[in-house]
Amino acid sequence: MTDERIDFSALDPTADGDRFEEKVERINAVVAPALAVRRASASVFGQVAGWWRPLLAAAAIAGVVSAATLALVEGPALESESEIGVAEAIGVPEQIAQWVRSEELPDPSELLIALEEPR
Amino acid sequence: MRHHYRAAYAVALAVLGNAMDAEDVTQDSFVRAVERMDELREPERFKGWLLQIVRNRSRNYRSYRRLRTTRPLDTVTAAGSENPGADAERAELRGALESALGELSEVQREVVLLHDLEGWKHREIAQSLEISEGMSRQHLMAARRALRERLGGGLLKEYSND
Repeated sequence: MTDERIDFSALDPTADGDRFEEKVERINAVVAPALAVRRASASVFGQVAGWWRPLLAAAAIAGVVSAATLALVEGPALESESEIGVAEAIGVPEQIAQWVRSEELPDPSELLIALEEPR
Repeated sequence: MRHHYRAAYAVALAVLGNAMDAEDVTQDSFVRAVERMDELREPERFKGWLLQIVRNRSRNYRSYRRLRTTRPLDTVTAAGSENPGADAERAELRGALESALGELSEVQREVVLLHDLEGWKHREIAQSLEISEGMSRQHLMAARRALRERLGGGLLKEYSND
């Protein structure tokens, strides 16, 4: 008959309950450090994963509000300061820089005085 | 681990043909599986993934063993028994089974062990071994026939048909 099971209980590693538990304990002891690392890692990444979307949304809102506020309140002053700063940086006297920005033509005497002023 | 231990052992035994080596490789495979758990993309396929690790490590161990002239000391030593007569009988049967299993092909061993030792259905065996269910049945019948011829009725206690 080939339709009946073969009795492999002599080869069954779980047949001796005490010995099997010893084996399980031994394996658990070996893998315990690796499992602990995995759990800790999963815990940190899990928390980050859970919070990153709301944190990202909050950061985006804060960024937009900050940029809008800066543009409205300090935008023109910054632009002016920036232009003066660049003109001074390349050695153009402040008075001449103001004439350039205002598109007014100075008198020759004013231009001479401005050029003779110490930088 | 308890849930998958016997199936893993059955696969190792099918490849190695030796119970002690199979237990060593099974334990080693569980450790390896935990270390490589990040590589498991589909947790629902854990069983198949684990058995593939067992299969590969068993084959590696078999190749390694062929190159060695001596066996390493077994990590599991038999404790003192209260019934040495029964232990001797069991050891004799284990030796006879190992020897008879050695006459089968690897796939026949794996099918018959997974079916008769672990209790898997042909559908599960076929999936694990990537063969058809019909082929699994054929291997099982051939394996049982060969084992019975080799062992005779005296050593085999048969269960009722499933």
